Amino acid sequence: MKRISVQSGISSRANLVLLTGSSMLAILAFGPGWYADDVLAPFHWHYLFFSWVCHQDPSRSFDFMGAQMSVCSRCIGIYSAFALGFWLKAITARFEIWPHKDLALRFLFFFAGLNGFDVLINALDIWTNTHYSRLLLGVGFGLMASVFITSKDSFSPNV
Amino acid sequence: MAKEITHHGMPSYWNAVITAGLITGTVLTVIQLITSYMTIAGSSVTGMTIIGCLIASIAGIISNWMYAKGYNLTYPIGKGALLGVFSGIITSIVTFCLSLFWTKFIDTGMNEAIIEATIKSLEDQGLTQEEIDMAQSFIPDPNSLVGLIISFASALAMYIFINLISGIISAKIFAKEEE
Repeated sequence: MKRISVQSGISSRANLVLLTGSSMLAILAFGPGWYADDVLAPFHWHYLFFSWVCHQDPSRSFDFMGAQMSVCSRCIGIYSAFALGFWLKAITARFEIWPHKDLALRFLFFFAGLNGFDVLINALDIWTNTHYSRLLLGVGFGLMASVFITSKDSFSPNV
Repeated sequence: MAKEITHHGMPSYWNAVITAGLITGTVLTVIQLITSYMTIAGSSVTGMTIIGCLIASIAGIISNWMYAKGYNLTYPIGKGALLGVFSGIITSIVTFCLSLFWTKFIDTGMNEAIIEATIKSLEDQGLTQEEIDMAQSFIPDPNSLVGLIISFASALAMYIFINLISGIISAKIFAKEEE
């Protein structure tokens, strides 16, 4: 069996790359409202870019500065909180407050399950979710994804 | 799984990456075709696109799972990200080729029908003809070379990013150190 080392958490350089990339994606996800013409805003490239991964239903999306966001309310929660996790990691890098990998993974699965459950019971008309309930669940999932990525691993003795 | 050893001494990950890309690309194409026909029929496609979002990220998961579990390996999350990126690229290529084949040989009128359905939807929203013309100028013609390149490039960028993230997460789950 071939083994190489497992890092203990991610390096500050990797965190910076992920922080930058996820922040740019979150800004794009807010849509073209901050610079686009009102009428043409719904047809900007932001929507084409995110159309591969989000339904972009206007009735399930927030508006930002007069234009619909590029993604739905759940997805904007995921993208923005995902970026926020890397910012928090950068800010709190000096402190030993970041959760261990196993705990972060449990929370990640919990919020993934909660989102799935929310979609299911909404589809079955058992309850009707709102912009803010979807946003909140998306925030939980996105934040836990970045917390899990940046969480501490155990060192491998088999280098 | 047959062991093909690279010059770095680690098994090659291309089997896992190509398999993951083929599976994900094929499933995504089927979902996109169903969504397209639902759009043409005027149905709501929200449910289908939610599935599409989840499916888009599984290439990174499948490739890392196959590589880590198939060879019983542990590796850094950077390598997981790399597998995710390659899986995303192959997913994009497979999706693009299958969609192109479908619209060029199986249902040559599908793109026109989608454009007509989109224009009808804009008319229903109360947009004027001038606004619809301006809106159409933003929507790339799916039959033109520019339209194909824009469509492929946007899908490629998104699938790469999504699978990079799912690759990192999967590497941390599947390629972890045994405790």
